Amino acid sequence: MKKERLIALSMAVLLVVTLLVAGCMPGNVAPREVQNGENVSEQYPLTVTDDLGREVTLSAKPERIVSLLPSLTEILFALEEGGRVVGVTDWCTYPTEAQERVKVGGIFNLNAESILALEPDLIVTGNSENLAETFSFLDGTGIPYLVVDPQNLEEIELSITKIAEVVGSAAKGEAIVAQLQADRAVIAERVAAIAEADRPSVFVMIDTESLFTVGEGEFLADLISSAGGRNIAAGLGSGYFEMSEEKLFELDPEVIIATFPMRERLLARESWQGLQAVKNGRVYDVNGDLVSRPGPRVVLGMEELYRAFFQ
Amino acid sequence: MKQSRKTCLFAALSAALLLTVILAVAVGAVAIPAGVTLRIILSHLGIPWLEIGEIGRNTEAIVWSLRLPRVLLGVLIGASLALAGSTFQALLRNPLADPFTIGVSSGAATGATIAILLGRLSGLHFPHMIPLSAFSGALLAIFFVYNLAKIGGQIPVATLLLAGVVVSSFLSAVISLLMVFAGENMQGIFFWLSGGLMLRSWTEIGFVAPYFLLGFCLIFAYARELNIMLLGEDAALHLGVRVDFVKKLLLITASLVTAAAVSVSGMIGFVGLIIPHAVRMLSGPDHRVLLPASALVGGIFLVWADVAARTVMAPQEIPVGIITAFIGAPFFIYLLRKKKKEIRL
Repeated sequence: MKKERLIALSMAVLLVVTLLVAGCMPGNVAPREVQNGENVSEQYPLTVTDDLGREVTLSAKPERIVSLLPSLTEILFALEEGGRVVGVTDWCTYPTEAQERVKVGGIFNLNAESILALEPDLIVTGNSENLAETFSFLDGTGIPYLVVDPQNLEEIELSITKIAEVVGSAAKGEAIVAQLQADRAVIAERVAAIAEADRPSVFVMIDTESLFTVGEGEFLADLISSAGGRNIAAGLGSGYFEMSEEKLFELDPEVIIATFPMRERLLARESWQGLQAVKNGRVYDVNGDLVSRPGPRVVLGMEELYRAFFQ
Repeated sequence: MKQSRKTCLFAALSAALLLTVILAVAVGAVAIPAGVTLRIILSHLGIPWLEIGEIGRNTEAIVWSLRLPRVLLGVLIGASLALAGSTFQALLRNPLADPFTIGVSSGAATGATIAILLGRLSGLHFPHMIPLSAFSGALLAIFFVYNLAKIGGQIPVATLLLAGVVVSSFLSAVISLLMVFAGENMQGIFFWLSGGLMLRSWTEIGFVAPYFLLGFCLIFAYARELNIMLLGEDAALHLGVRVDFVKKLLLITASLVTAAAVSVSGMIGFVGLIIPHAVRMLSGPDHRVLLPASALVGGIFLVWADVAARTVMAPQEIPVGIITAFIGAPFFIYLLRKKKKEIRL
């Protein structure tokens, strides 16, 4: 009896201690300094709001940047600030120069020690459930980190502007965004000239072993419609999900797009010979990096999709 | 079990299986009237009923090329897993044994993972690369476990269980390591670890069916020996059973049946573990009844689990392994509570 009470008591003490420690962690103390970052370009200290609604304050121009997302690495190099990037992920393959930077792991196995060893003064990262632990780790270190999570093409451009501002290259950022918008307008104009009825219905397959696809609310979905395609999964759900094979047959898309090289295999799939896309040979492989990375090369992905749809 | 009750049981189970297949083909993500479904199937079986011309070609494909093979494959995989499960439980005299106990599934998953990664990284591809590689992985795992467990030409049950568990954990570590390397490419690997029947066709049925049919005949032929071996290997030896021979033969047969199933469906858990127990509660421990009844119930169970997998969130799909665990675990607990008896082999 006594022993049990002792155990219960020590459990309670442990719980209280845990709660106290968690409450006192430096990460839970939000930075208080509030400033309007919009107009104070290239002046530090600088405060901006990131895509999680957090206010991120930089005391000086960042000189040692770690990027935790391939698209953000691409943005930094496009801004010609690659020299200040000290760490990237295993998947940051573009531009080639980025591969020479220190690798801090991938999204599922980030190496906290190598991130700290780089002594970054800014970390840029995407958003995902897998990153929750990384965020609380970063909160604890006090290193400022900016979460970038664009959901459509316009937000990609906004994210480029924001990163440019944060790293002190606002002018270059504006130039890149202007170029992107111009390139996008060219495609948009061509697409606008095509009647709704002439736009092909499209299924996008982003896996090799299942009918994993994208519904609404992701930038890939936006990319498809901007390139003139009608995504058959658009009405079936939001985000990424696995579609039923029966539904694929019912909706019978005119075009199938694979983001991994699958064309030969899909065309040879015996049970798919009845699909019009397979019958007409309209199954295309596109460069998965171009259509899955919300970065400066996204217009190239859009062009690739446009060519698959209309040529 | 009396002959009349036995006849009754098998008549009921066969009827249930037939009904299951019919109902499962009738439902899906796309609504197709029952009459249309029936006409499509009958016309394919060479029974001219009505002109099929007015039915859309895609409706025909959904019923004949997607649903029917998927349902039949579900029957085969469920039956294979339950058959292998009851065999392993008897051979290892362990109620926790299932088709995956001696490393078959981890072997298959490792083979599949390597094939998927090779395909992604080097562009290497040939027809049925992933199932073939999964099958080879399973065979290799069996080979290792079997030889690890062999002591002086014999395979003691305890050594076999241990060797199986050790090889399984080792291979799980290999898979985790490969997944770390795979990074963005791991979507396909996830399928193998959760199991499913999506994107399968008649080809896979042709692959699994021979293993199941031959395996069933062979194991069933030794049903009496399995009954006797439950008394203990020494007792069985005294009663004239060639224990060592039977054990080796049935181990390899059940492993092959599992390997064939896993290499097309991934690791579908729970079927091979709970179905034999559930059936044993109904039918008693006689393997002459238990083996065929388990196979029938396993087939019925997996088809219904797959119906749930493809309709609950339609037109999105859920991996069937999640459903089998979701239905399987509570159902098993219910059976345990209702029987209020000790679990026995």
